[in-house]
Amino acid sequence: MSPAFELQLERESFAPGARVAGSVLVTEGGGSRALEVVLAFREKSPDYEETAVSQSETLHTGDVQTGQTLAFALELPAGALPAYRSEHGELYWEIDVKSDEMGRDTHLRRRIEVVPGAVPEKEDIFAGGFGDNEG
Amino acid sequence: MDAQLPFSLFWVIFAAVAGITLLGLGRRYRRRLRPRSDTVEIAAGGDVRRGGNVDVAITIRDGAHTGVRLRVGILCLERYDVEESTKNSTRRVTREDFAHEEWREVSASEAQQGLSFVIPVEAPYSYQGSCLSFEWHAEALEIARLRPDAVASATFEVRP
Repeated sequence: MSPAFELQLERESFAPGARVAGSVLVTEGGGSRALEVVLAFREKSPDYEETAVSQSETLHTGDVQTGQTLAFALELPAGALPAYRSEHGELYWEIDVKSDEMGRDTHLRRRIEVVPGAVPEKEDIFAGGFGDNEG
Repeated sequence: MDAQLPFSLFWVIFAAVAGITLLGLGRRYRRRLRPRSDTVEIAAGGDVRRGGNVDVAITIRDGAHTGVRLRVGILCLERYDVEESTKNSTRRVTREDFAHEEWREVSASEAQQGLSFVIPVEAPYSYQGSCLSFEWHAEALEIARLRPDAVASATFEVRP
């Protein structure tokens, strides 16, 4: 059975170069080969989707249990661009929680806002990731 | 008479379809079909951000031309990929549209002129992607009556 997740973020809006931290709560345990979180800048045209920038962190390998909480922290590039939507396409930042499974993978995606010109707060400047914090 | 009617109708329909097709192609490729101007030079730049201004400088090579009509503007060209299907195949093609444009008519009575355009806050920033791009240009068009308008063009970067 595919697991289900909930994504909890410290905030929804970030400055370029800031740390994007949060946790993934397993709301329904199940079979998974690996659980990964991806921070990506995506391009979308009417028929195509491309990833321009991405970085990822593997949070867990193997099956996940209900109630497990996995913390993560990824860093936005210093020159991270803001989102933009035009008549024919879109540019946006997204967090993708991906569970690698036999058959179809489970994804939980959420867009985040990047505010150009904003300065990351002191605690948001990346100083290494969190360790696994499984509950 | 009866036999001639369908024949005439065929040519009317043929002319209409050909006209619409040529008009469509002309609109789609009008930018590429324009000749380069031998008369006008254009430059644009500076630290341009959305919500700020871009300074555009025009130089008319052989001095002022009172008889020349100029249209000067800035435009943001959006390029986006789409899947185009024919009966037997599918292919990826890049289409173009204007995400922003602003034009002003200026007199060519002065050999050197400077204009300032506002980049709206909600306009796109310069971006070169894999399936979506935004490219900013400053252009000067020499308006002509019986030939295609000649164009002078300069690209510039717009930061977010």
